[in-house]
Amino acid sequence: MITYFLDAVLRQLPGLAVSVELTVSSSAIGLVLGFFGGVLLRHRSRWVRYPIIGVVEILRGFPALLMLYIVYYGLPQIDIVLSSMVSAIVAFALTIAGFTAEIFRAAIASVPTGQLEAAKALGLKPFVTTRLVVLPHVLGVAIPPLIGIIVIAFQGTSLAISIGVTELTGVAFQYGQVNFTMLSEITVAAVLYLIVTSLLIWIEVWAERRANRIAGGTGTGPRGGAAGIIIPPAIR
Amino acid sequence: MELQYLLRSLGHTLIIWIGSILFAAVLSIPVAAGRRAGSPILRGITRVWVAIVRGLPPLVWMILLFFGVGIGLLGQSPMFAAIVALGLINSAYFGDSIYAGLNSVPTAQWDAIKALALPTRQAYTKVIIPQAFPIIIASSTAYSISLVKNTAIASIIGANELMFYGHNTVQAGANGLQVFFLIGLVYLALTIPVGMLARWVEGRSVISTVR
Repeated sequence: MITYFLDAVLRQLPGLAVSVELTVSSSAIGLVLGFFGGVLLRHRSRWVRYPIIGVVEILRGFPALLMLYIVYYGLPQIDIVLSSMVSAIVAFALTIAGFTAEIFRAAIASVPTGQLEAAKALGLKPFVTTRLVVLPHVLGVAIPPLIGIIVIAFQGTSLAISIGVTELTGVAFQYGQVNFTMLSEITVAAVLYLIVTSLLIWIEVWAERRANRIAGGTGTGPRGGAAGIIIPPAIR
Repeated sequence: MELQYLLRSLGHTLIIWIGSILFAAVLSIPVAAGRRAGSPILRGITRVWVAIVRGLPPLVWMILLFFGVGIGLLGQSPMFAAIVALGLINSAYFGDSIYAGLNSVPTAQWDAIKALALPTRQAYTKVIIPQAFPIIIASSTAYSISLVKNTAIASIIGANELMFYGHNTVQAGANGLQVFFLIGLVYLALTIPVGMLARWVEGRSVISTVR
């Protein structure tokens, strides 16, 4: 029993590595895109703001699986052919960008006006204000919900099995199907998912406590992070 | 694209969605009760259960139930397996909403119930639920909206809902970009009215509590 479990874990570790790789690369791209999206969502001109709102709503409103299919099966129609791994990274990055744009927008909006006025009164230049006043606040309040998004992104990588990426679920599924041990194989994968997710959530809770201190204890509600940013239960 | 098949697969998406909402709603009551339980053991068990339910990707839950457990209907109907999987996951989220809603009722109200010696049922139907309702509705609607998007995952285990239909059409040679974008619009058409409905219900219930 224990040897079977250890064997299965060793067998599935390469799959877990692919899942982590997918999570890290799509989150890295998605967070950068999401940050610029969040800034543009607050743009003064409605000619910039409205199109960005439209894009963000589509990225958030389409299921992650649909985005994956659009990239993998749809883009070849306009002569963009990506490998399944790259498709998965691009698709997940887009979905992550949609969700994080909203988080960054809320985080930027949560910078107290008094701090901005103080910066102005002290004669700080806009760039210095951004670096010393806005950014520390934004990072402080946005990090817990961003980790929440990364947790969901990690779970979402399991969707890549549908376009043939052998990540954790894929490895477990293939072996279980060939050897008629689906229940035990997928249970082991489930344990691995649970360990990584719990670890990330633990970091999230820790970051949230820190963020609440930064934001002066304005953490609201059970699922709202600092500044009352609600973590969406799922990208998907 | 044949309209008849599109409508049928849309129907299946709706069945999975509504089925899992109902399943989750029923299951969320013991989850919320467990989180509020006096006994620390019961609370601990509920916490572990919620962590497990949420810690696994929906697809893993579906594979586990459909291919792994596979007893009775679970193994025969991917749609049924998807309903149970999504229902389980969302019972944790709905349970959270109920828990948060009940906690949002001011302590003075609970004290007043005790002081008046109101019977439990009356206390809940007349005092607690009217006040907790807007919060429960607001957050559980947000979860229900993301649940719509989760029904798409059921296509991977073979439930012939919207995404399954789209995938098949594209495999048969249709333009992937057009088909999937159109299906995306159908999902938006499902989620946007739900959000609006929730805001309306929330607004109404706030008015009725004020009165």
